[in-house]
Amino acid sequence: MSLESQVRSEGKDTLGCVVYVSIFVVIFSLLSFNYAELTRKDNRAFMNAFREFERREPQVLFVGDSHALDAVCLGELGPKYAILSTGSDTIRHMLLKLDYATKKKDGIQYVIVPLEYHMLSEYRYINKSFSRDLLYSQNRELIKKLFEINSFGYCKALMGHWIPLSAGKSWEKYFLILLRRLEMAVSDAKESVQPGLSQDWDEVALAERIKQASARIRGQLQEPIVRAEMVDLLDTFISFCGAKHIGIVGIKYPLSREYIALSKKYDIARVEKIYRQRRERFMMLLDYRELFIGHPEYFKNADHLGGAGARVFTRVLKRDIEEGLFGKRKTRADRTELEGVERHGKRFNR
Amino acid sequence: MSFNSADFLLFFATVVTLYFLIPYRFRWMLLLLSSYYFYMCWEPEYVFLIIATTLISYSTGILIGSADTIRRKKTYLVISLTGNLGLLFAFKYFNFFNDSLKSAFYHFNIMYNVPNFNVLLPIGISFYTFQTLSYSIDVYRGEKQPERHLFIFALYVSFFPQLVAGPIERSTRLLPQFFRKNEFDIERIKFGLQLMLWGFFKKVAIADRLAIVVNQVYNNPADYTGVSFIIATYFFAFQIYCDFSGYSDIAIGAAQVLGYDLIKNFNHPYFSRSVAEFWRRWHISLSTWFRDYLYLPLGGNRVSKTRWHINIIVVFIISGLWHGANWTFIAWASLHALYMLSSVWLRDFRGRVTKAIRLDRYHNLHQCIKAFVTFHLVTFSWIFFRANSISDAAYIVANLFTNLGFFLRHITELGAAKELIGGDLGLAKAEFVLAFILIMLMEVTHFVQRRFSIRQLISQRSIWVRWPVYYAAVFGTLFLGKYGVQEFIYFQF
Repeated sequence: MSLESQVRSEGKDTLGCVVYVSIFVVIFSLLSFNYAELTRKDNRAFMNAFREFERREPQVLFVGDSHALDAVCLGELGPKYAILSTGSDTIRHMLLKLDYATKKKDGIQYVIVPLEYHMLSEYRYINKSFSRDLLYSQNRELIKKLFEINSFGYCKALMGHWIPLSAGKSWEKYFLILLRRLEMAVSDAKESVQPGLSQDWDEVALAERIKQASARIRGQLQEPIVRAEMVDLLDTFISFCGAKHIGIVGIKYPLSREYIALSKKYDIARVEKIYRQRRERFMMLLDYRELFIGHPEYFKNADHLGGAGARVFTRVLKRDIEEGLFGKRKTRADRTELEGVERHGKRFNR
Repeated sequence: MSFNSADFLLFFATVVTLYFLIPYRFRWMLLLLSSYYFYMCWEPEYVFLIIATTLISYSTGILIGSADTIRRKKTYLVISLTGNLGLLFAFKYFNFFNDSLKSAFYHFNIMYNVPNFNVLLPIGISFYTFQTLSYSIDVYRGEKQPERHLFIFALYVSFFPQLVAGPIERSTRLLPQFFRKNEFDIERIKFGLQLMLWGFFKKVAIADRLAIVVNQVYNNPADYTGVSFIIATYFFAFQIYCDFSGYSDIAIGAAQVLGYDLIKNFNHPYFSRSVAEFWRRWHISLSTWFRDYLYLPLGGNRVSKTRWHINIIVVFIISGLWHGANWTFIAWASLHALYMLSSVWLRDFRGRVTKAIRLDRYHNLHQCIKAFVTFHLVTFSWIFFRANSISDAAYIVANLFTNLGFFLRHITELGAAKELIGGDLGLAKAEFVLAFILIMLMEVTHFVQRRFSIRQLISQRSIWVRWPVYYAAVFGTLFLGKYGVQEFIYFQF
């Protein structure tokens, strides 16, 4: 090949590469735009809690995962309460939210954290995703520390934040959203809903309840049930609260009878020991696990309260918090309304 | 830094760009530094193991080359083998043998209290150790001149595309390539990238999707019944193939982009018509390693029948141990040895049966039956490979057909597959169907590729066909992928 034809050929190759990459970028941008549209609603829903938080002047802040989110009705609480819980939140996310909250509002005196079996397990440890948390937090150093990443990892996360489809996980989510839409389009929408999800827990057959609870626990309490890193994070959380003079209330949310029975097969004593060793650092420890043990109708699945259960539970919880933290006595109305469920509940003040 | 991560893509793009920009004489430096960086992304301190392995093999290689008597050569070879295998034993097998000894002594009420090493298994240690062993043996046999350039030799040991999970390269093939000047060849780069993409597809779209079901069932066997085990075992057969061959494709493709040819590691193994053929098509670089450096030196089949059979058993058991320090791997390898021996013992009987039922007249049907049987024998053996313990494997084998009749009787009601199968397998119904479709797609592609190269076929088409196919392949892979924390299975070996 002569030099001239070689140069020409190389020029053609280079031009080909540039055109190929340009088309790639165009397709990628179009898909990114489509993905952003599809997930906009999700992000808006996620940020609603923050907007609500900013409208309030809270003294008590709830953080936690879906247990806290589903069990506590903001409508039943007064203006001095706020909730920043999101499904799948770990201690890392809770600390990040508390950091955000204390920067936004000076009046926070207490934070209510879940002390459940799975908070320290592998199940929660592996959740190191903070892509949504970049919507409210700019605390780069804290994010790097909590999520064990370096500056490069942080930059990658930022890139994933601004160009969502640059992260593999976003493609996975994109696929699932479209798959779900396709399913809904080709079949009756009701069919695609998993059995048991649309029913109250008491309407689900016992065998199915046991199966669902078992699957749930197996996922949540997989070994190691206590990760040293998660215990360190819990201590970091406690220290953070100490430094900011924020009192901590530990809470164990109501669980179904099936969940409680099946969880005994696991080494939950190790988790309890961790919490017990730190009980002096908590203003109050509230244990409601067995509160609704005779009320399956209050649950929507093995470990989440439904709407009715959440309303009743919030009233019980509010009464106990008011009494424990602000020294309020039970009113007659409280006594009458909550008598039925109180028999099942246990409460441990420090 | 796993191949299926954005970090690797960025790393690889940087290395390739620099590689073709810098002068030829500096390229080995770039490759060596990037290979060490690549390895240090896992456990930085274990780079000293690679350095130690490199120095042992390099110096003994020089000594073997310059030794004037066979006896001396042999002494240096023994030093090299002892040093390399000693490191491998200490880091990979010590705890296994120590625990096994503890259990054995415990049976006889003898106190044995040697503590275990508290170390993580260095990634890829079996691969690079075997690569350096083959070098030392080749030099000893006179098939390779000792390499004098320490850093080129270090690059041979640590070349990043094949460092952590092979293919296990021979010094006679790979070392000379590091002295070759590779020009920027767009066709070669395109082919390399296509192979990488195919590897990514197999890994993220198929293997990692199947892994969800496999992990769910194999990590909780007591929660499942027969049909679940059968599905999970079939899935594992394809998971491990897609995972490992996907890795090999990415490795070979990455090396091809840089201008290096690595050995083909898989050749459609599930189309094999016998277990022996399977081993000629599966993890070829390891099978040929064992053939050349263990089986043939033991005498191969040119010894007495009994000795030959013992050779087969020894090679398979060592191959099982190579995969991991666990009795499950030994059981898996023993089963394969049994298959091989049965195949030898039953050869005449099979021939007579084939003639009696006149199967030999229908050649294609006969071949299909052989492939079907071989695939199922291999798939059955994967149970032992994947199970977390021997007792789990035994449980799965014992319950493989439990409730199968019930399932078959109600197969028309497969809409409620969850209940029939006996538990949640971790994948939604649509994803389940998709997993089957992807497996079929891969097998059809393999079938077509046996006759002609799809890559070649596409490259001959016009740009209006070619480019849409490329875009569909790239975005399809991205779209169908699972991007969890699923490492490549063979990293642990």
